[in-house]
Amino acid sequence: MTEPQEPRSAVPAHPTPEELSEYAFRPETAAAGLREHTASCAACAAEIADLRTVLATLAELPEPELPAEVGIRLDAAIARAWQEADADAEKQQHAAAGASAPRKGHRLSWGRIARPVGALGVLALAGAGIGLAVSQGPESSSSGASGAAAPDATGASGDVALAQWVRTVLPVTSASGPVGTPAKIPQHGQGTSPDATHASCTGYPQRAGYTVLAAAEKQFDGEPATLVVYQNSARPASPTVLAVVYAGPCPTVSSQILDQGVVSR
Amino acid sequence: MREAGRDDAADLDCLRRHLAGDREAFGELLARHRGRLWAVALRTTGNPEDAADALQDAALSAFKAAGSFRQDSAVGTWLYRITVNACLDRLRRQAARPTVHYPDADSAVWREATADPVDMAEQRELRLVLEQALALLPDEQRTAVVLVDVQGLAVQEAAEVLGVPEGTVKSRCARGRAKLAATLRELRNPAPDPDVSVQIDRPAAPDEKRGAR
Repeated sequence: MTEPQEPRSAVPAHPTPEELSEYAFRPETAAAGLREHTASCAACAAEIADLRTVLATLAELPEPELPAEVGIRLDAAIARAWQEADADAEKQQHAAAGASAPRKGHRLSWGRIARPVGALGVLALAGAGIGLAVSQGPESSSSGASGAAAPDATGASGDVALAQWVRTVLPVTSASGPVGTPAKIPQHGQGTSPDATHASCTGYPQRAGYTVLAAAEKQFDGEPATLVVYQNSARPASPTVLAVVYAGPCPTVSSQILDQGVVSR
Repeated sequence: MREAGRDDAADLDCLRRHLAGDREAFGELLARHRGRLWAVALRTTGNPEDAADALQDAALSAFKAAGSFRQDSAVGTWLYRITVNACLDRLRRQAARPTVHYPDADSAVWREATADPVDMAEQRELRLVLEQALALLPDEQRTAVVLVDVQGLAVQEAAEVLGVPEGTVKSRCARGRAKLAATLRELRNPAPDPDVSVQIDRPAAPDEKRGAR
C-alpha cells in the first residue's frame, strides 16, 4: 500500500513534514534551501529540534528482554513442529512400506533429509537460493552443529513427564554402553538380536540418523505404551535425545505415536 | 546500529542445517534473533500477549517456509518480515482492538526496561511518554518507526521488510515522527495551544497542514 507523498519543492515557504523529518533524520542530505529556511525560521527550527529529540530517544529505547516463558513457549512450538513433521513422515513411510520393500542405503539418506522438508511442504527446493546438503547424509549435515548456542535444556519438548520418563530409562541402558556408544538395542531392519532388557521385542522402529539408545514399556494415559529413546548417530554426545512414545508393546514403524519430543538427558 | 552484529553467513548455515534435518539448527537461528524480533513484536502489537502469539506464529511460519527462502534478502530481514506480518495479521484480525497496555508503567517489563540506574527521571518520563505515544500511532506508521527509528534498520531494509517502496517508509516515518514530536511538545508545554505565539508569524496554509498531522 502506498501513501500519498507531497512533492518536494525547491524552497518552500515552510518545508513539508517529510522534508522536516528527513532533515532531522539525515541533516547531511538536506538541500541548501531547506537549511537556509530553517536557519531563519524559529518554528521550523523548533520542530526539527523536537524531531531530533524524538529520534534520539527512540534510538535509545531499551530493548525489552524476551520473557522466559515466551522463550519456553517458542521452544515447545518448534518441538511440536518437528513432531508434526515426523508424524507426517511416519505416515508417508508407512504408506510407502505397504507398496515396496524397506529403503536402504542412499535412499535412506535421502529420506532422512527429505522427510522434514517434505513434511513441511517445501519440497521445491531445487530453486531455493540456498543449497541443500542432500548428498551429505545425516552425519555430515549434522556435524556442523556446535551445540554451543543450541537451547539444549530449553530445547526440550517442554513435556516434563516425558523428560522424567526418559531419565528413568537412560541410566539402566547406559550401564550397557557409555554415552556415544550405540546401545545394544535391536532395531527393525538392522538385525534383530535380542536384548536382555527387551527380550520380548525383536526390534524398535528406526529413525534415520538416530540410534536406539534405550526402550521401556509403561502405561501412557492408561494404555500400554513403549518409550524409545534415540540418540543422534552423528552426535552421540549431544546433551539431548529424541524420545518417542509408541502405542502398545514392541512397536513397529506403523505404531501410533502418542508423544514425542527432544529432551535433555 | 543494533543490526551491526548480525552474521548472515551463520544464519544461512543454520537454515541449511535445518533443512538438512538438524533438529537444533532452527532453535539456534531463532536464538540469534528472537530478542530483536520480540522487541519488534512487542512494540508493533502493543501488548505482550499478542506479541507472544505473533512471535510464535512467526517462528512456525519461518520453520515451515525455510525451504522457500530465496536469499534475496538477509535471513534477519526475512525473519523481521515474517514477524511484522504476523503482528499485522493479528492486529487486522482483531475486530475491536483492545486497549494498548504496553508499556504499562506498573508492569515488570516496563520496570525492567527503565531500570537504567544512571537515567534521569526526566529521560525516563520521556521514554515512557514516547513509548505510549508510539503504541497509539496507526499500525503502518508505528511499524515503520519501530523498524527504522527504534531497531535501526536502514530505510531500504525496512522497505524490504514491509514490502513497500522506500518513499513510503519515509513518508510513514515522517508522519509518525511528527505525531511523536507533537506529543513531546505537549509534555513540555501542556498549555492549550503552545503554537499560538508562533502562528502569528507564520503563513496560514503550512501551519494548518502541519497542525493536521
